[in-house]
Amino acid sequence: MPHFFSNKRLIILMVSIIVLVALIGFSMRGREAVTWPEKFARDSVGVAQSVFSKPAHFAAGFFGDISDLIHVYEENELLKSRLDEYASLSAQLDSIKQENDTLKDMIDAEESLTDYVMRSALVIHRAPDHWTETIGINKGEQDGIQKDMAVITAEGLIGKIDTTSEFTSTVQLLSDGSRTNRVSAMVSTESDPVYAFIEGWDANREGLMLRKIESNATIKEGQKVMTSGLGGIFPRGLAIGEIVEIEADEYGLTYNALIKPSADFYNIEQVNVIERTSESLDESLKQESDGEKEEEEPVEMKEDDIGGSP
Amino acid sequence: MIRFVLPFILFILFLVEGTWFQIFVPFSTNQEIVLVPRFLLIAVVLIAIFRGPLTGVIIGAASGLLYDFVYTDLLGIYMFSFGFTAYLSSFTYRTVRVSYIWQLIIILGAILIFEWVTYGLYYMIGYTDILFEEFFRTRLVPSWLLNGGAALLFLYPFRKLFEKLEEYEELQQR
Repeated sequence: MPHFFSNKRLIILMVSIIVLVALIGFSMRGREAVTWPEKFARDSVGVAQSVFSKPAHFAAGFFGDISDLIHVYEENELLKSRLDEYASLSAQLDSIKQENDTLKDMIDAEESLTDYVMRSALVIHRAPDHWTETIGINKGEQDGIQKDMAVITAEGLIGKIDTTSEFTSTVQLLSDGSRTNRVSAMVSTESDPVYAFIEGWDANREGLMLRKIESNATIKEGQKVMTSGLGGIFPRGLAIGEIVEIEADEYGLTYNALIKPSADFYNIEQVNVIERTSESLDESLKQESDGEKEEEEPVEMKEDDIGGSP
Repeated sequence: MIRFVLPFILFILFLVEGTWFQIFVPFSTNQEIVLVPRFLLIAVVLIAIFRGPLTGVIIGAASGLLYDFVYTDLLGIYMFSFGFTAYLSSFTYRTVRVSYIWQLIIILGAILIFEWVTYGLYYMIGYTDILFEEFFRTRLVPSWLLNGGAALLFLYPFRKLFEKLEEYEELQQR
């Protein structure tokens, strides 16, 4: 192998390693947005990816339909048994909605943290090396997508917008291992909701980790976890999953819980990008909630610009 | 026109890796293995063997840069790994060019180097904390099997393609 690593080659290798380190350093610096060559590449590749992904989703969906057809009888039985339950639930929901509206009228609240608009998008790629868990969707800045918006499927929250270009954006899934990947969440209990953070993915046990739960909180397995809306960008009440395991953290000061996500992170075809309509709370509400700050705990410390929930 | 055939094929492989493969081979952590398609790498290695180290490195770095731009937020990792692997695997000898066995061995070696370099870089910057043993079991061996199989399918069409290209270039020189 005579051409390996002669002097000139060695210099070229050194230079390219320096370039590599410089590029990694540049891109790890916590950039707000991607550079224009990246945007350009993503947009142009995005067009081709959209063309490629549509027939593929169609074909994959076709095989899925066949397997659905086989299970149709069992599913029908199950659904029939759920139907009565559904009727009573929807009646209940109606009355609660009405009650909620009247109550909202009484306190003159026009916006709430639960309001959002939804934009649907098609998944056009997924990072093939599974070092990072990101997917690409075919909606971008032109469609009003912005960084950090929540992304959901029909089953629940799957992640947030990581980067955007003109016509495409990438979504960082909740299963991504990056340290910046955290979501302010709450556990709905019979009394007050318990606030905590979704932080990271436990690969061995296949679940999300809900961390920093106060030790005096009363939570049980099986309780539902949803977004709290206190992080500033996500609306309140998007389903994340349910608790399957609770344990004390390594210092014994707070609890950690293992969450089984309600959304499937693997066969994603269509996603919805959520934009919260209420920017932040009214000034009057903010002042009111100042008094309650002590009760609102850990989330409040970090994001006190938002105030409590209405 | 024929000059654009290679970039076009590479681009199609690039799309297959990110879009088709991800749809038809759904990834699941249940299976304890991570299947990562490296079809683009196979093509780059074959180009380096048949077209020489310089073309190989240039095409490799360009594909890697596109990979970085589109699939990751980090720049440089795939550009470097593709270029480096293309250079190391540019065995342009006649024995290699006529023998499928040698080409397959070089491709498997290239996958080893490539996966190792990318794993090392991701480990270094803290994106992953799995140990080498686990990397070997869950990523490298599945990658060898998957991409080795894919390489067997690619070898014949690519050799035909390079023969066509050479014929065409000879015709042009006259």
